[in-house]
Amino acid sequence: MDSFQDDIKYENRIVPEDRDKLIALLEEYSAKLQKKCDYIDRSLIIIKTFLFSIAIISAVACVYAIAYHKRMDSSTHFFILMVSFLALSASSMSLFHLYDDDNELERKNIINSHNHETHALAHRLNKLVGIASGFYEHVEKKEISKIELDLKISEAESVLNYYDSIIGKPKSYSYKK
Amino acid sequence: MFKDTIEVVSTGLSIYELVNKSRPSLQRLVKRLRGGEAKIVVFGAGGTGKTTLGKMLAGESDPSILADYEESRTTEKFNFKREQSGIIIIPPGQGRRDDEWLAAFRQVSDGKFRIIINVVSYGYHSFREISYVSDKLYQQGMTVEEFVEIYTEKCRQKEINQLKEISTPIKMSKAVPTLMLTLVSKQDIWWQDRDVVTKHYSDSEYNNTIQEILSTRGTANFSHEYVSTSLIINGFTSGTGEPLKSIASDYSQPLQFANLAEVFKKIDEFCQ
Repeated sequence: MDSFQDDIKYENRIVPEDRDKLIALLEEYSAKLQKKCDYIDRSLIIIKTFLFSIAIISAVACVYAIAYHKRMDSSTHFFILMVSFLALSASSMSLFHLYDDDNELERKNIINSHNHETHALAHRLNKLVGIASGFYEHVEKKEISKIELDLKISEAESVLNYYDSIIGKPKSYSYKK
Repeated sequence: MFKDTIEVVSTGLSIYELVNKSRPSLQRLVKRLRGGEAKIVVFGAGGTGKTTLGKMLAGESDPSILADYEESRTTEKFNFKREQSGIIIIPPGQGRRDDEWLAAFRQVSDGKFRIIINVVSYGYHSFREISYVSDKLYQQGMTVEEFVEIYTEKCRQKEINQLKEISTPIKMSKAVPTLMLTLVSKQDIWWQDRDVVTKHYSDSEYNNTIQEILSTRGTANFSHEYVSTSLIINGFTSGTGEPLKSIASDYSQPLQFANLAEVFKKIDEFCQ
């Protein structure tokens, strides 16, 4: 990622000859963010599956403890009931937070615990999209080249939208280390 | 009309109260519009200040807070603060995002919006990240002034072309009455040329297009007003920060706030 600052310095002028480099960077950072997002998405699915399993096992244990309470001594019955009830409550609440669209915090915690670079990548790709979009509007002259650039920008934007859908749309992409 | 707005501005100076008084009028706006929902659509080219206006209308941003220009990727939606059902829709202005405009056009022609704001800025369209010397309009040896002249001229033509595009769904709109405001932003940059700017919008191709809409829809179904303000006082710089045109020497924050109050007032009047 360190090459990013060397490749495009914001204070320097973008010239028409930078076009190929810009497209290459868009592709590179789109692929990087896509990979990170896929990883986070998979992690979230694994966590959700794990929590679902805990919830189901706890529910079954709860039902079993209630249905067959006569076969157990009172302390065993109470222990199973309490443990399964607590596990069920904890897993249900965690699932509720993960599925709640307004609750970014839980997802962000998971994302942060997996990868601190993801937000920085999204910020940099967003910045690149801005540069490429400016290039499209102000620098690019050939229609066919504009079409190619438009497609590359659109691909990058769809990855950013994917990122937004996983962690919830950030208020801004400003990134501070 | 547009010229009247400027006259009002030049008389108002103790203005902070005016802005604060006019802003809550948006609360009344919600109640007045059909179905209790205020739906406003804001059109305009990229870099004219649509998002800043949306934030201000929604009560999200203070005009004194400078915001860097950041291009919007998709249609933005702002809900009125403290309101139950007010919404402002802002399609992105860049030419390559015309699919977002088409979606908004469909909603306009279906009559979903009764208030349409078109933001123009006399061609002073902000741009991101790119130096003016990299712009395709720049030619070797050109001065900044020469570049700004041809750049703004091209952008003014873009504004007129975009108005022509918007005019089609407005002519077909089922919303009765349809209220349209042309907001000429970036006063701080063109304030010294205000007579020229007034003439450009009220006595030219731009106004001819407005008159065409009027004659199609009729005065009972369509009304239009010009308003003008500076959403932020920032001067005109390139995407890499090179100064292209400075803030007009006789422009000031009280003038900006007076105009802003005028914008809110016009929207409020539209709903009465």
